Parts: sequence; structure tokens; C-alpha cells
Amino acid sequence: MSNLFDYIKEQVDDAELYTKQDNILAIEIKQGKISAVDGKDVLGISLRMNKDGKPGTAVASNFEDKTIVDRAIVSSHYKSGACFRFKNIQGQSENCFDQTLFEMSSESLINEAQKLAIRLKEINETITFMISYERTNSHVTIENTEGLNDAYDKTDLKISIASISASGFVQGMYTEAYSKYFEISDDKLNEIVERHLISNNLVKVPTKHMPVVFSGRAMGALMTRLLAGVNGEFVVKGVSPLENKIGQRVASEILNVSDDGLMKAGYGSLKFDDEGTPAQRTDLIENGVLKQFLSSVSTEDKLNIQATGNALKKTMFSKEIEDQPAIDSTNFVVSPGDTPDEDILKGIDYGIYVDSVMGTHTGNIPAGEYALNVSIGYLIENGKLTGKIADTMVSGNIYEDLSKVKAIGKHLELMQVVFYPMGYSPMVLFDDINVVGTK
Amino acid sequence: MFKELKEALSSEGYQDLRFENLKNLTIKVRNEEVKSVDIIEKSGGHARALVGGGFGTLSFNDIKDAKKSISECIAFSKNIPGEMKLKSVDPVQDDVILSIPLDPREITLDEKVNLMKHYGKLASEIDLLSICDIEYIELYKEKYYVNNEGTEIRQEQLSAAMNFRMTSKNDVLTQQTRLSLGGSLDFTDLKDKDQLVIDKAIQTVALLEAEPVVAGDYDVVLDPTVGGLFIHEAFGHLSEADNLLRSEALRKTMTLGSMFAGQDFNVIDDPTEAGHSGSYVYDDEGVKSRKVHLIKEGKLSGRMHSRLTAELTGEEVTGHFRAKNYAYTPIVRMGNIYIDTGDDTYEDIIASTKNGLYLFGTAGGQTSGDMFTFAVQGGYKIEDGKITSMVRDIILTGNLFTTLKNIDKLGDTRSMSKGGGCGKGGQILRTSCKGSPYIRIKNMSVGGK
Repeated sequence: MSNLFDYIKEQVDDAELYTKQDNILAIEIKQGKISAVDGKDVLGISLRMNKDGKPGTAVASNFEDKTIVDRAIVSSHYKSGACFRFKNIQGQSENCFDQTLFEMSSESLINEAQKLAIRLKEINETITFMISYERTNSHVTIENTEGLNDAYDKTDLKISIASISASGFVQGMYTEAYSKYFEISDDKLNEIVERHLISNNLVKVPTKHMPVVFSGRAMGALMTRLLAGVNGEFVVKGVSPLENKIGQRVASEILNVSDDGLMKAGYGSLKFDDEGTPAQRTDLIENGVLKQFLSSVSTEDKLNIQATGNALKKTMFSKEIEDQPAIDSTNFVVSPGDTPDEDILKGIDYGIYVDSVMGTHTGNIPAGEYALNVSIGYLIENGKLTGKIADTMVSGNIYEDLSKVKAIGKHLELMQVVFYPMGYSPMVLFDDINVVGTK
Repeated sequence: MFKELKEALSSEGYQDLRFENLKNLTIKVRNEEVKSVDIIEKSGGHARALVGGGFGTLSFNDIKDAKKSISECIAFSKNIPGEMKLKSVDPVQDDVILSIPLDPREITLDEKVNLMKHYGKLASEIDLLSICDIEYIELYKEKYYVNNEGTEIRQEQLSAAMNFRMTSKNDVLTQQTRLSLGGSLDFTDLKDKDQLVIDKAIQTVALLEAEPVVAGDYDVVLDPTVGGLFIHEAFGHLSEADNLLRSEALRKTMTLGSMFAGQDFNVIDDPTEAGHSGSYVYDDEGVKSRKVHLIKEGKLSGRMHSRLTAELTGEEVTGHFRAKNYAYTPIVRMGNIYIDTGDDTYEDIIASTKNGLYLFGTAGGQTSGDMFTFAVQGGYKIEDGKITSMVRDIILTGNLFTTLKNIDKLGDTRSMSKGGGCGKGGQILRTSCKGSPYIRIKNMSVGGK
């Protein structure tokens, strides 16, 4: 690698070479049977450089491919905007590696999945489940002409359980993910089964405003909009409604939101981001007051905010080496509140519990607008979940609705957004959300 | 290349290898300014082995690792209890060479950039059209495929598309639309599209004056892009036979011969129809693609398969097993899916609609089992058989089975989407196309705000 970087340095003025080696093992159990073990052992190399006052980029998939420099130079002939600025700040801590996970073989992963299948069967042997395990080991390096030369190892494990309805469709869904080894608790498995059984009773709801509980998982759809609002790139472009709101109340005073790249065992934890900025925790909303935006090296000067370690090579739909670093969440975290989860439900006479939605990626996201089809949700009557709701949508604008947060649960769940996890949130009660039903 | 790949295979169980050289070009232009040009070159392979109860698969970069990767796949596969069989197919040796009227790779970077700047200028000159983002995506793949049954295929794939995202803005409102051009391997399809670009820009600005739609049930007339997205999201994904693996119940729900729609209704997936983003010859298992009738005269009549799902269902292979690239294992994907034409003219469909909505332009969709949802860019009210005022902020939701039965008008000409794209199992596939004639659906649930 250093050979390639030495060659690059001779050809261009400033440069940064980023590499990522991913080693992934994934298995899935369908109808009680493991259908495949899918592995991935691939390398991506990404160059960002300046030559003659112009920035350029290119990627390659092996260290012998010296055309990466020529292609970056061609790219620089066209690319607009300022030169890349490279920095040299050494990352400190690492909260994203677990030796046990790193060493897991395909055999042990299969054993884990089979153990989970048996535990589920012991609770209820009539329900069909799909179970998937995905273990990723990554090795990331970064080297630049400012003298930065850093690396880290990262592990993570994602476990998903889906229960299947009588007609063969997904009825319930649960996903958990951390950068350390874990098992799903008995309580959670019991809850998955219980909710599946409740779902056998299909109910309709009327169109009206009512109390709505978003599960931690479903909060991802709303937090995708908040993430766009605190995204420094959107603030600079003038499309964030939060642009001049730092220090102002933008949400209920019980709401606290941060982005925490250092979260212990967090799925999105890392040592440094994909521009080499060390990971950090950034408090975004404190007691309902907007505190800070997320910033990258390119927005530092325009926002006057130091890079927050959120420049990542991913989008909602892809994590390819050629995706340019852009502001995204590491672990976006809604802080747990002080209401036990069961008490939140107990206090509701009539409302809905939204556990999974469709349409997270559609609509005017930066403006905070949402219109979500509830793919998994339940009717709450007299404090209890009484059936699965059919043909129901929730819609609104988070910049009105975040002020309607009345209670926040204690237990963190993974926020899942389109293809990838976004962070963690407990269940959140909103007291007056627009629900479109068919009753 | 073939030699190295074949040497990595042994006769144990089933084994295959594919190796891909990717050369992609993306250009991003905003209005008249070039934002970025990226020339992406990557290569790598994907190995699979079936010796135990399921496949072991592994992606890798270096062709020298092919043999090692196959060994790992064998080890993975051996750990899987049970047994699994593939539909048997005859071995194939083929070399698929593209024949291209105007090869995008022979157009200079400057010419491409200038064409984009030209379109960007046309759009942004329309009053209140604030941003016209254009992305040019050229994908070239050279793929080698071998298996230990004697199949050896080299094939090239190429597509070039321009995707527009236009934003209009006044003091109170922002509206966004999308437009795609091309999607085929012929650069001609991207040239001389001035009028399409200008019309879309005018429409984007007109949406600023539109009323938000009032939520409720409507008879909706879908334009071919929306009709295509509807059939892709609502029905197409269910016809990907790998979905059947998850439960016996779904297999029952999807029993061939079941009545799904009215008697005039036909749905087809045809990767062999040339000139679209989802056209290809062989899938990533070396199976030649076939035209499949998914719904014939209202009855479920076929589905898209891999060799595994064909064996499990006792149906024929169709060649629909594809991966985004070498870093991914193939899954069953649509190629060119479409609703076939009927007898109704566009004029008749509108004239026979008393109180409804005409909807144009897709803005993303998603499906979860029998439920689907998708957003459209805008629409018009239809009152007493006439198109009247414009409406915006429209999201459609519904249940597949009731919605298919509510389709009561089918236009007499079909068009296929330009560009392309579909997400499934963590893989975005650009080479996926959808189409439809104008269709009418009775009693569709339309959400607004």
C-alpha cells in the first residue's frame, strides 16, 4: 500500500489514500433450513487528491492498479469546487472491535443461528420464522500528505428475526446490531412471539389525530428527517429548516438526540470517519433545544464548526468504495427517557403503535415531511396492544411533531433505515399524530 | 481468463465462478456546472459451491484467489445440514458481443459533459426552476462465467442513462420531479431530448401552483412510468421465486392458475426484449434469459427463477438470477417487467372517468409482502371526463390483491422506463426496467397530508 501511496505522491500535489477490506459472513434460516452461507472478502481503494489547484477522485480494487492516479487526474479536469483539504488529527479510542466476533467462523455462526431457531421453537413451535445473521470484520486505513497514517479494525454483528403470517408474508420483524458479540434476550423473543399472535387479529383504524407510539425501530424514519436537518451540507445549501435555529427550542423538552461515533459497542462506532476525522460524540438536541450541526471538513469554514467525524462513504442505498464521503449518522441516538416502556402503553386509551414503516426514503426529507405506510403496527386499546392494523398511514412534519413528544421509553432499539442501521432509539410517544386509516 | 477460472474448479458437487471487470463512468452536473466526473474501474470475482445442504458463496478481488475462494465455499457448504438440488440445464459455451448503434464509450467526455450542460441550461432557464441536477451513469461490465458442468460464457453488458432531478422553488414551496433518459446501450437515446427536458422543467414549476391532493379513495389513471412502478413494486417482487422459500403459506398464496386480476390483464417479464436497461442474455448462473408470462388473462401463470427455485417448484428455469456486481451473491431479480397493452385509447380512459386523478411521474416506492406504497411527482384532477386542475403531494398505498382486481382500463400503447433501478436485499440494481400502458385503477387509496 505504501508503495502505491509513494507513487501517488510523485504524481500529484496533495493526496489521501483510503482503503477498506471487508470480510463478511452472512447466513439465513428460512423454513427451519439454512439456505446459504454468503461470504465476502473484498478490498476497496479510494484516492482523493489535488493537482494544479483542482480536486479529483478515483477508486480501484487492487494495489497494482496505478491507473487510479490517471483517472483521478482526468476527474480533476472537470470537478468543480475547492481543493480537498486534508488534516492530520490522530484518532484516539476504538469502541468498535470485539475479538470474539472477529474470530467467529461460519460454523459458529451457523450454530448461533440454529440455537436461536431452537429457542424460538421452544416458545412457540407453530410460527414460521426467518432468521438472519451477518458478521462483518473490516480493516480501514488512511494515509495523507499531511502526515496522517492511521488504521482501525471494526467488527459488527446484525441479527434479524422475521415471523411469517398465515398467507406467507412478513408479520413481525425485529433487528438488533452491535459491534460486539451478543445474544437476543428471552424477554425479547417472548415479545416477538406475543406480537405475532396479536397480529393474527387484523383491525382497522379511523382517519383522525391520535396518540402514536413509534418503536425505536420506526423512529429511524423520523430521525432520517432530523438527520437531514442537522446535516451541515444541507445547512450550507440552505435547504435545512434548522438553518438559523441553534439555541432555539425545536422539540419537546424531554427529547435529547446525539450522534455518537464513540458509543460503546455501537454498530456505527468507528475510530475515524472516511476523511480521517476522529470519531466523537456530538449533542444535537438537548432538552428540546438545537445545539449543533454535523460538519465535515468541507463544511468547516462555511459553518464555523469543526468536522464532527460524520463524513462517511455511504448513502441510504449503497456503501460502495466510490461513494464520496458525505455527512451521515454514525450512531444517531435518541437518549432513553424515564418512562418504563410498559407504562407508555398503559397510559393510552386509544392509539397506535408503529413498529415498521414503508416510505422512509420518499417525500421531501430535508423539509421534515413524512407520509409513511405502516407495514407493521398495532392498535392500542385501554393500554394494551389488541391487533395488527391494516392499511394505515401516518403523516406530518417532524418540525411540528417533535414538539408533541410526551414520553420516551427506557430500552434502546436499533433504528433501521432502508438498507442499513442508523443508530438507536427507545420507543417514543407522540400525543397527536395524523393517522390515515380505512375504518 | 477462462483457463484460470476453470482450473480453480473441481468435480466435487456443483461449483461456479464469475469474474467481472467493471468500467463505470458517472458525471454530475448541476444546471450548467459540472460537479464531478468519476471513472470507476474495479474487478473481482464471486465463487459458489454446493456440496452440502446449501450454497457457500464468496466474493473476492484477485483472480489468483479463485481456487482458494472455491475451497472456502466448499467448506461453508459442508457446514450446512440437509441437501439441496439445482434444476439441471444443458451446458452452454457462448461469447456475447454487443452490437451498438452509437457506443457511449466512443463519445468523448467533453461531448457528454457538453450535452448535459446543454440540458441543464435549458431547464434552469425556465423561471422558478432553481436546480436541475443531472447524473449520467454509464455502466460497462465484462463478465466471465464458468461452472463445473461445462458452461463457459463471456458476455459484455453496457447501459447509459441520464437521471434528472429538478427542483422548483417560490417563497413558500419547493417541488421536485425526476426524469430519466436512455437506459439502453445506445447513446442515440440520450441525444436530441430538448423538448422532454423543457416540458419536465415547465411541469416542475407548474406544481408550485398546484393544490395539495385531498386524501381519499379515487379512480386513478396512471401514466406508463407510474404504471410500471406499480407493477414492479406491487406484484413483481412477489413473482421473484426466491420469496417463496420463506414459507409454505406463500407458495399456496402464489399457486399458479390463481385468479389475480381481470381477464384482459397480462404481466410479462422479458429480459430478451432489447433496448432497455433490464435487457440481458445470460444471468449470473449462466442461464439464458427467457420471456416469462407472470399473469396471463388474469391468472397467475409463471414466475422468475434461479436454478434452485425452479427445482423447488418443479418449474422451468427463466434466467433471472442476478447480482449488482462481483461483490454480491446473485438473487432473483426482475429484468424488463411490464403490463401488456389492452384496447383502450388514452382519450377514452380519461373521457370515461367521472371523478378521478391522472397521476404522472414516479418518486420512489416500496413493498412489504402484499402491501405496497409509492409516491408520484404530481397529478391532475379528472372531472366529468376532462383533465382539470393540478394536484401535488400524492402517495398511493394499497393491497396487491384488491388493487390488481380493480384495474379496469388498459391503454393500447406501452412504453418502458428509461434509466432504471431497483433495491432488494441490500443490492441496488440499475439494470432493471419497468413499463406499462396507461391504466386505470378503481378505488385507489390516495394519501395526502
